[in-house]
Amino acid sequence: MQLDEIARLGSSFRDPAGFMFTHEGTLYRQVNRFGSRSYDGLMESGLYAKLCQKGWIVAHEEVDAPVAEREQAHKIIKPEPVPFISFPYEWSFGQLKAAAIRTLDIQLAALKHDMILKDASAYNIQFCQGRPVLIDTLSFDPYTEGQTWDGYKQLCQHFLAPLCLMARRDIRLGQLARVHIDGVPLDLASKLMPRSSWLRPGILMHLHLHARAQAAYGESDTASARKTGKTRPLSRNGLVGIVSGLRSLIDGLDWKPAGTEWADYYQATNYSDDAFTAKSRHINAFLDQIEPRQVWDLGANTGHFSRLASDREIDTVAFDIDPAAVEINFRHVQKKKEPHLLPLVLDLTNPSPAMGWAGQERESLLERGPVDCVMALALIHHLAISNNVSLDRTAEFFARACRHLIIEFVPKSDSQVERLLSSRKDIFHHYHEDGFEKAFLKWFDIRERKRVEGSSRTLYWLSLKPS
Amino acid sequence: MKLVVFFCLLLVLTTSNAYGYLDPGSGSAILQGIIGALAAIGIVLKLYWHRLLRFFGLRKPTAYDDSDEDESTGRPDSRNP
Repeated sequence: MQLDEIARLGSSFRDPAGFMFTHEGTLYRQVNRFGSRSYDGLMESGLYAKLCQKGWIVAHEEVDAPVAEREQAHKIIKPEPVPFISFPYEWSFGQLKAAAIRTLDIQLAALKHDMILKDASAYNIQFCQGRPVLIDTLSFDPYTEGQTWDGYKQLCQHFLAPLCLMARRDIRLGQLARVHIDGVPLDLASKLMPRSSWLRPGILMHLHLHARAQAAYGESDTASARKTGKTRPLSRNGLVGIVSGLRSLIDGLDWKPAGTEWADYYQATNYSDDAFTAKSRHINAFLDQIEPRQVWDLGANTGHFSRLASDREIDTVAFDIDPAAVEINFRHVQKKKEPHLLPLVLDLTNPSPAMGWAGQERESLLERGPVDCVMALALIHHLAISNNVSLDRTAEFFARACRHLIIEFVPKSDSQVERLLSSRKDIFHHYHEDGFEKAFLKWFDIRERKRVEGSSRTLYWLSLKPS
Repeated sequence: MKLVVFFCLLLVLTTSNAYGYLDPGSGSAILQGIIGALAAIGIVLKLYWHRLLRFFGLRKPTAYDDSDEDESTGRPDSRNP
């Protein structure tokens, strides 16, 4: 085996217990000798079987080859693939909350098997089949009575702080996770929270007093080390109490998606029922021919058209800028137990960048592609007119994102475009159907063009030109 | 006396996690000790409160109390010691 055939993942370097690597397009995890007690403990304690049975952990099989670093290797495992890797700053409130509760439930299950979740990173959770799943098989250690939970601070930073801020201050503060890769600093969260939150015992202890304890013992950037303290042993009951307390605190946090930009979109558009049906029919016909394995619906709103793909068992990611629309979509996914739809928050004019160490820990949106098929329905006017992106640049972006594109052109005569232009000068002289086709033909071939009956819009199926 | 010293040493030695790769943060660890002590008292009080209610027949033992599905206790399953 040549080492150059093995590519270590940029995100997998912190824990010496093991690391992820790819070989010939397949993802593996090497368990190092250093992590043998963690892995063997997980497998032999019955915890792995229990978590698998509940669907709380990604399943894996042990394999003999390939071995990435033989002198350190204890085992090689092949985890089941996750259809799309998403990050906490792309999740809606409900998704972050579900991931937090799953993490805490896993901790309680682990303690029952005399194991402990040693960390609590939100990046260790992914959404598979519509449900939050732990993907880090090496997150466990044998539990020793008296020890504290190393991941407590991480849980508060990755989950509790952003959830409290979103629920009790402003939903947009969830985006702080994009700046702070190891979670929202607790002193910052404490400052931003409303004063009334000091009256909630859970928030008081785990957030406000936690921030002050960190400051007192010199952990925060703004404090000098003033004290040295001794950690007192934490009984099992005490640890369970902390974990259960955090669980009920987080479970009690709620945010209702109301007053949204898009809440009444379908009612407000100039779509007649006929046009709506026609649009669905054309998209279905395109999907029949494209037969994609994965679809990204950009500007998906609450996922009405995304479901044309996901209902065919195509893994579909429904992106939208509006956290309320994504929240509504996710609640629908949960309620209907839809396994193939993943709603995510994304501002397409500023999509998720590559982040972390060397810019390689968290992949950008485009690095997670290209995808078989992108759907961009009722989107182009927002990019071209609200954000002044030229049609040429838009076409180039889509050419990097996908192989097939289902895109709707919305002309200036459409009421939605009229609304966008009502408060500004029309400087968009190339924004018309011919200009659109000219820009996209540089990268794509037009496979089909359909008028959406009952509207002035046109739906295109475009295929990337062979390079 | 030797035994007492041995157990004290054992307790001190086992409070640190030898395998961890994360910095738990001294403030976070100390806070856990304090909240944990309060929580442990709470859990014991709750247990006795429920036992008292059961004793007076005010609350029936439910499947939830020690079901295998219930992860809320975080304790090894007491039915299979």
